[in-house]
Amino acid sequence: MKKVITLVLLLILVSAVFFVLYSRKTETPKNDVNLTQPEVSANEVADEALREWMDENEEVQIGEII
Amino acid sequence: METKIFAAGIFLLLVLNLFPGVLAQEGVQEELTEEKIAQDTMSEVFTMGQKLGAEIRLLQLEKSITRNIIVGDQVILKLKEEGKNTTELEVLITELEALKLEIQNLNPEDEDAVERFVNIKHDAIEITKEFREISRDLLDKGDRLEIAEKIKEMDKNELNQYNERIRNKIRVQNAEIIRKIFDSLGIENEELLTRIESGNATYAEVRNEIRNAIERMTPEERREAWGALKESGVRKDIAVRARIEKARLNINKRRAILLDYLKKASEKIQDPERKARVQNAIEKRSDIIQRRIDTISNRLEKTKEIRENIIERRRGGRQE
Repeated sequence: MKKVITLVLLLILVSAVFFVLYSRKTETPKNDVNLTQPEVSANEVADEALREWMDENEEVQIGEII
Repeated sequence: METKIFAAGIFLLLVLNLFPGVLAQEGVQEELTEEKIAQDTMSEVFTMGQKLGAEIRLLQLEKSITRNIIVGDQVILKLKEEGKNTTELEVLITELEALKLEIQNLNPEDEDAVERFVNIKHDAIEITKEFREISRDLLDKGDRLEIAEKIKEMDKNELNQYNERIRNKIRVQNAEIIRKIFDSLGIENEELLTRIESGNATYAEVRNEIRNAIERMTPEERREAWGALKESGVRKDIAVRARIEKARLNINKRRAILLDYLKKASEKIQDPERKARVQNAIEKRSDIIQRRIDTISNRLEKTKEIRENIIERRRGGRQE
């Protein structure tokens, strides 16, 4: 009887751990919008400026046929 | 007896907890694939605002389709050698040829060029997938290796010509974009612009030049530059979202266009026997094409949320 109770408790524990881990894994990233953040790094501005830059080796991916 | 139940219980526990783990992993992989398609399409459309950008994306898509036609033809050759029925695969290759024809007839400046690009790309993804699934059942590992070897030795002249044209256009496009950025940030570096146009400047070099100019700015100037860039980016993101949505809404018009191009592509088949087989099969193709259109429409609807998230992530990073 004692072993059955241990087993049930173990099942609950492992399921809880799995649930927590799985929830974290599939959680959608949230954006913390800060409306008053004034500091912008030069790197961020440069990255934003270069959004339309195209790499010469870029390809439109449609998948491999074989 | 109790010990046996205990052992069986432990085993069951392990299985129960491993199984969802595997499912979760598969779910993540599938989500990543959908996310990649959505993300790629968005960044492709982002650069299609100008004629040259649209020309580049259409040319890149044409090249990818051409590569799959070349490889697909090799698969058909191999299967024919083995005496297998290749009609369905031949029809799929003709459908890729039809998409290629459609791109070649498309004016990058047309109002619907972007939505046609989105739909042609998704058609090409689906046709490629169908071909891969059918041929996978017909080819063994040895056949696939043999085809891969043959492709390596093949003349890549056609693909190299695409590479050359794409590369030249990208250089001109990059130089145009950077010139505008330099102007807006007050950077004067004609030498770097010339090198971008001739393909002798790297992304890192250009990024450094811009970063250095921004570092020299006062915090107020930097905020202004950031605000202007961010505003322009958000406007383009909204345009991208609208164009992809328009592609989804107009996808039902595609069946007639596809069937028309499919007929034209089948006319160009040189081998008379293959031509007759394909043309006969095209008669029954309408329903299959409609099913594919429905699949693409569902995918574009399903990935709407992914696209919204990507845009929100970009927009939410920092706000003035």
